[in-house]
Amino acid sequence: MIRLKHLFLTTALILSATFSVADDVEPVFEFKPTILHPAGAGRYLGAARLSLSYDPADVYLHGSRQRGQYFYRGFEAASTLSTSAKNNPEPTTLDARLGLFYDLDPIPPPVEVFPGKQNGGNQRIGTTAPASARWGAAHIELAGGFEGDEPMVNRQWTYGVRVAYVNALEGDRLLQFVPRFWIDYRRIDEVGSAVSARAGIPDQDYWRLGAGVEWIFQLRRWEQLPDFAQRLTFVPSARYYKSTDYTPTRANADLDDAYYYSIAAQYAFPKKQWLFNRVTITVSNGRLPPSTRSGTTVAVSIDARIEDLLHWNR
Amino acid sequence: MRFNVHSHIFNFRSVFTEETIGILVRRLSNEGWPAFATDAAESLIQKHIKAESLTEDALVRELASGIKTDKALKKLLQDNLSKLPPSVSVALNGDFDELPIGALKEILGKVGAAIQQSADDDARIGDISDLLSFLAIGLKSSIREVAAKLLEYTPDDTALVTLTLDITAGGDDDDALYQGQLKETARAALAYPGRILPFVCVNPRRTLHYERMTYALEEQGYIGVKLYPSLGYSVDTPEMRRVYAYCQANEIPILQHCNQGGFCRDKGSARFCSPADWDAILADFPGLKVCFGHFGGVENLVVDPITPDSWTDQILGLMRKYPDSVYADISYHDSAMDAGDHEAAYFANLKRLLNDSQYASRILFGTDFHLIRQRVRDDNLWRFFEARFSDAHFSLLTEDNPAEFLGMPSASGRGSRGNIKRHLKFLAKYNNEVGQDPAPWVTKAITAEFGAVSFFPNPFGPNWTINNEAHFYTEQFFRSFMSDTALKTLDFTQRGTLRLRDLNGIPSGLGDAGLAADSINRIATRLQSFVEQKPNPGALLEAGISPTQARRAIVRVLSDPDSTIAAFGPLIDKLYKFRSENLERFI
Repeated sequence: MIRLKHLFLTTALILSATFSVADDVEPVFEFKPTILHPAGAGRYLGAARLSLSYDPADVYLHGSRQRGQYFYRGFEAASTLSTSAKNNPEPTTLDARLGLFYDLDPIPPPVEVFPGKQNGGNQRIGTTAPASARWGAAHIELAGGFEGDEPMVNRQWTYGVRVAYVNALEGDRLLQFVPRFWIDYRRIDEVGSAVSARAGIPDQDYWRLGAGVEWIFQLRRWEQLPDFAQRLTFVPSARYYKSTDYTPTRANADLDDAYYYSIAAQYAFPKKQWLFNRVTITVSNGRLPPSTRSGTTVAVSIDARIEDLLHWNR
Repeated sequence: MRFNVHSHIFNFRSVFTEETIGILVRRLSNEGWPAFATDAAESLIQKHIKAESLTEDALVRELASGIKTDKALKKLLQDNLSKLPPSVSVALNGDFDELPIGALKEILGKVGAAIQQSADDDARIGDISDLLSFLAIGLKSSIREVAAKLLEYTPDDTALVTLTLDITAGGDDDDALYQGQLKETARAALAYPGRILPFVCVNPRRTLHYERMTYALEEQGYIGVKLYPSLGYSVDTPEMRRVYAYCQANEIPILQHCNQGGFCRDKGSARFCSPADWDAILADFPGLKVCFGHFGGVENLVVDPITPDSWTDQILGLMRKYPDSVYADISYHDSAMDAGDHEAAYFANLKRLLNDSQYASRILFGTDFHLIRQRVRDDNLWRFFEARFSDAHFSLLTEDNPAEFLGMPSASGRGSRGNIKRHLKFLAKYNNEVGQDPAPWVTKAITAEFGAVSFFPNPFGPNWTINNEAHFYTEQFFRSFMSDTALKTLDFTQRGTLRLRDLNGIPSGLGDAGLAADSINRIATRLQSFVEQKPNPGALLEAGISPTQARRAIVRVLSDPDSTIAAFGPLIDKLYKFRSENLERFI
């Protein structure tokens, strides 16, 4: 097993090294101000959800004619920093990835051909859309990285395989009922564990199965609904984690498996405004490893981009 | 219809770099602004030249803070402490951050007045608010915004000759910057069809000056050539004669800067503007139309008689010798506005010239916006001059003479000259990119020359048009994401205003981040495949852009639910080369 760990860590290092020399693609940062209310904390926490992603050049399978199928490398980091680290149930994750992305739908032909520059263009515009997609896309990847809770009391290296599927959201509206999901199977190499420390046992290595499923329901797909309702999007989701090779001590602490359910409702304001373009309320229950916190959390977040915040006074 | 034959709509960022900003500051200094004001202005320009447009209030605050900490001002104030009113000293020692804008403006005015009283004549400072207005215009983030500001100050029935500026260190220096200025100015001409008549600046120090000139005149709607010899070149050289031969053959008028001030490469380079150098050129290129900007310098016209052997006097000599060729404009003649002897002599001289048949049809009105904004606003300048001329004289200056110089169609039935015909073709070609209905003269002249042409005003201009193949296929790709209502009721331009959050099937930051990224990547790669594969033959990535760079660029726009579909048009155009781009060059 040591050899597998070394394989992943070496891969991650190689990928990291390419980040510094691959200057053709810039990293992407995202930032969301959030208010969290974990049930156990008994108070509201201010929080900032931060994410960073970076992916250098992909390798396309079919040259220049089909971009939807390609091998990729990438790096992603996500964290929620809060005003009370110990009460923050959301994990921090860093992952280097190597995978294959596969769009399962053919590219539709154009319904009209560019006629060239001529007088009266706006009169010719068509009302026919290219054929809709049906099948969506999938990826399979090797991933290796690090995860921890905000105080970094529980922290661990992880490496394994992940597969994921996303539905063709733009297709027929009934396709919204097709679940989007991911499954991963990872080796966990603990670096620090509050439970192990309390039990006086050494940190563990073990396998963990994880799975998540979600649906995105955009009510705007039903045009007969009132305008207000059409601005709502709902995302119910569920996750399950099951760890094997656990010591009885930890299994007795009920930490060998974890459930997590959430439902998010987002409202998009009619016009683009400065900060409050969209408000999202998420109610969740359960636990997200490696955090040992479990319970109901309510989170309210607004969409804000770094550029908007930097130029707020313009 | 009236004309202002001398104006500028460039913003600072389209002309100056951090290296050449000194030329602008030197000009401010030459205009008489004291060191503390030019120092503060320079740091302000350096800081904001590439930023978003600033409001005038924000500029006041920054300029005030800059002035307060200026060492030259501190010394000046120290030396003249006894002459300063107490309110100025108190204010300068106070906290500017807490003061309202009105109070800050007052302080700046008092500082200006105090300096004027206490320092020598070199510290002439007009109204500091004029300097602020000038900076606020120059720091606007787009040429179109500057054009909008100028049109705000201009009577509705007036067309503006807008002169571009090429400050190059020579060779290939800043070629992309200059091309950007030419392109953006052409787009401003489309935004206000018939109201903006651009001239392309030729600076032979630029290696590709001839190519840039011909492209602008043949493809980008430019109607004339601007020369600025004080930027360091002689007008009578083989390469410049090549320019004149082109202008003569293609009926292109030339406007040359001609006074002792303005933008200068160095102290000695103003001599290149001498009208005397044109005698031999005009003899060799009969019929070539040349206008000497600023009439050789207002200082020669504010004395009676006109200064003998001055540049103004030399221009009058050329007018007599080449009656079909030589013109002069009266732009930036602010010294004629002193309500005293200068003003009286100036208007007496001009009236005498306008009553003389040798010169009456040769003199043109211009303002020199936005450089004149350091002194006076354009609408006030129009009113000032109109009040001091008879209707007949003002009509000559602003209507008849400019129309003849520019080659406009006349009421008497003379058709447009070649340069104007090309401009009309340019407007007709981009009839879907105009920002508003064309000025009445355009509709009339196009109908007379080519037959009726319909125009479709488009708020996006060239940034979103069905006449662009990249935009055409981008819109078609996104139709899969549109509601039935949008497909049935919106036209191409209106669909460009749809935001991603108004579309079906684009995640808006909800749910598992990995799955959301997969969805966005899938849409981006499908858009790539759509434009690469299907518009037969497909588009190719532009040189130097990798597929992943293209995907990342698309993902970035897709990740913002507030992005409009129109935002993808210029992006796809920038990333991909379409077949039609080989056939028709695009502005």
